Amino acid sequence: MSASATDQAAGPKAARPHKRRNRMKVSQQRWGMFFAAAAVIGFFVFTLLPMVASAVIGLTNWTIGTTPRFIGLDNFRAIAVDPLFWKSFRVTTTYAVFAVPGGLLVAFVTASLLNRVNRTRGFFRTVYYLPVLVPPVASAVIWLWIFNPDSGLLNAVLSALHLPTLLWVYGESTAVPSIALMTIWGFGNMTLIFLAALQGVSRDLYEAAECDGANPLRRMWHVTVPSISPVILFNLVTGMIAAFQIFDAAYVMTQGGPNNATLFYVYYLYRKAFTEAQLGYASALAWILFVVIVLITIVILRTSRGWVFYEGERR
Amino acid sequence: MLSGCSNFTNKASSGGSSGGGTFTFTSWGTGAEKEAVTAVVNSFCSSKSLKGVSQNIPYDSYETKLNTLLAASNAPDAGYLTEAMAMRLGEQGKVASILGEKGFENFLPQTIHHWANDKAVSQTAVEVECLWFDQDATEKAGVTPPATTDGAWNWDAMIQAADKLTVDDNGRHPSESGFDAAKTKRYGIAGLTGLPTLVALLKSKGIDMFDDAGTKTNLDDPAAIAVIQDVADLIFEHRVSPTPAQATTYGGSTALLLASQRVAMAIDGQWALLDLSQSKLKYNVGVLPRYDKPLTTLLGGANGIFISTPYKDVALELLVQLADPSQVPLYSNGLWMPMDRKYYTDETAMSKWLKEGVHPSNYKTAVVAPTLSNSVVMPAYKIKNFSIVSTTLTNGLTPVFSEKRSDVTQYVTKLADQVKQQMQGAYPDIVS
Repeated sequence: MSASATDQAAGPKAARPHKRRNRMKVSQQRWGMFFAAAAVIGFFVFTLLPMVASAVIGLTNWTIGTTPRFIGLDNFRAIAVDPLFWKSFRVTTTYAVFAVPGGLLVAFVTASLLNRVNRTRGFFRTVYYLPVLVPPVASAVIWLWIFNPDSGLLNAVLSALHLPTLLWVYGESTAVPSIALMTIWGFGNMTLIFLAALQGVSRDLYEAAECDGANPLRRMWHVTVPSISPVILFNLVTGMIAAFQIFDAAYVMTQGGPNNATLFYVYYLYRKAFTEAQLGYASALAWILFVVIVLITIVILRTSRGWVFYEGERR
Repeated sequence: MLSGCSNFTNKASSGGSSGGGTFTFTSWGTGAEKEAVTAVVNSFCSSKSLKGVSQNIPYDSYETKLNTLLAASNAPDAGYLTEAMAMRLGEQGKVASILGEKGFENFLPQTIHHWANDKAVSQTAVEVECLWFDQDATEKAGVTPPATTDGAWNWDAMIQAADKLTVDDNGRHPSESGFDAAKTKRYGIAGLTGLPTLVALLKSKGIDMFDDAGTKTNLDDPAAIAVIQDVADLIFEHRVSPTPAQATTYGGSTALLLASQRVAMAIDGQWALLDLSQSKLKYNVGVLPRYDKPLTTLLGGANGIFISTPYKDVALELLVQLADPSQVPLYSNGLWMPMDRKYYTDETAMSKWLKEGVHPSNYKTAVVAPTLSNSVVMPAYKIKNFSIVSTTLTNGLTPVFSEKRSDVTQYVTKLADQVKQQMQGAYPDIVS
């Protein structure tokens, strides 16, 4: 009884903090939803809605100035036999093949070197990150000068070394690798992510490997790479997506030339939408790109199961 | 610069009021052009009791911006249009025809472009390709660029003159032994690789760049390939001309190119005169080299009135006023050439736009006269889908002018085939 009386006596008092907690919880939920709403509404209005609209427009014949006409999958059929679509797809894939592994390699090597220095790490981290801060258009203009076959920095270096000079972005065969080189220059972002990952690799693992007689290369291959493989995966996926969406270099530097050598997919899409005003066709192109990027991401993620290791993961 | 506008404002005021709305005119162009067009639009609109909005859009993004406005059903009342866009919008019924409208009757027929037999737009102004030169350099080398079409250089004469003007660091010319091409101090001539110049050179040999039906390019004609080979040879064989990439390094405009003293003569549009007249360079102008008939290319963007405007009459009047050299300073400062025939034939009318200190001594014979009698119209209006076709051609020809090739015939033939796939026919426009 007494216990019950005590309970009864304590009841209203105990319920008050509980009620307060509940009120606070509800209030927090409301505020949380309020703050999240900006992002959610933004996503619906500026991403999902345009995507749905673009999917519908992709099924129409719509040249700006005319009334859209539903044509089913005709745009996709036309794209399948469009030589410039295939050309732009080849060009973009070639670029991705050069730029993504190249960027990963340079960023990884740089991060590994930075990981070894202590005093000047901050300085070099800033230096390597600076190109990321240069606006894409400004960087494209700077690189146009660097690539100039007559008075550019790169050919001056090649000439000084008595090596044959190149046409860089002005040559059909060298244009895409040149732009890939320019993109790799902005490797600072990846480097910082790699550096953060490298600093998180346990010293114990290196010491154990050293005790087992592993040389630095083996330690790198058997300890470092597996340990930071989730970060490699992240950089690979985001790098691949960015590579398939490259636009500024073609727009500012080459306008898709010479002879469509740099007709990147998104630049071709842009040209179709805003120069030729074919919104239906361009929307269909956009959806093909979306599907391609999704497929590539799925393939990378599926294959990653064999080479990405997460701490505490059981196999 | 804007003094002419006050006169124009007074005239417009007498035209009556259109009542309180907003009139939007879009244009590209920087500096003097932007200022002058804005001033004219504003003063004209206020005289019509309208609020004038002059929207200046960079040329590179002009089509994008305008297409976006159109897609959002938010077209301006009137504005500049690129050639291809003017014809496409005309065909779609989005742009009003100026045929039969007051004030356009005496425009040169080359400046009126028909998207249908009875419907057309007019150009913003006339432009032609010219041979600009550094007079100090030519005089020193003993070269006199021809001031009349009668005296136009044939190809060999042009090479000889360019050779005299081209020198390396040791003062040797390309035709002399020991000339070091890697140390070329000054090139004789630049600017032959652009499509407008190629159009004139091809037509000089009797070849149209495209067939009349707009189904193919004639670039794969052996005679046309020979012209392209000739231009490439100027760079790699005769070594009297820089590659386009080199020329860009020397100067982003003809005025800068000549002022850099790395090039003595440069072919460019008449619009280059605006910058040249503001430079310290002693410049003059000559006629383009020829094969058979001496020719220049006439070109220029369009002015369009959007069908959605409630102020069509106001817009028509504005376009006529923009074409009047006594109202707009852009003619006397060298950027534009007029469209009305009288400004080419009547001395009094000519004096309204030809200005001493801007238009050089050869201007009348080397620019004004050929515009009337020795010009071929750039097929930018005639050929459907021209913006894409011209991009493919320009990009496609770049490798020919960037490095020495032994396969120019095969390469150009392949390019012509690529262009053919993009061609979508022709408008009933005047080409020559």
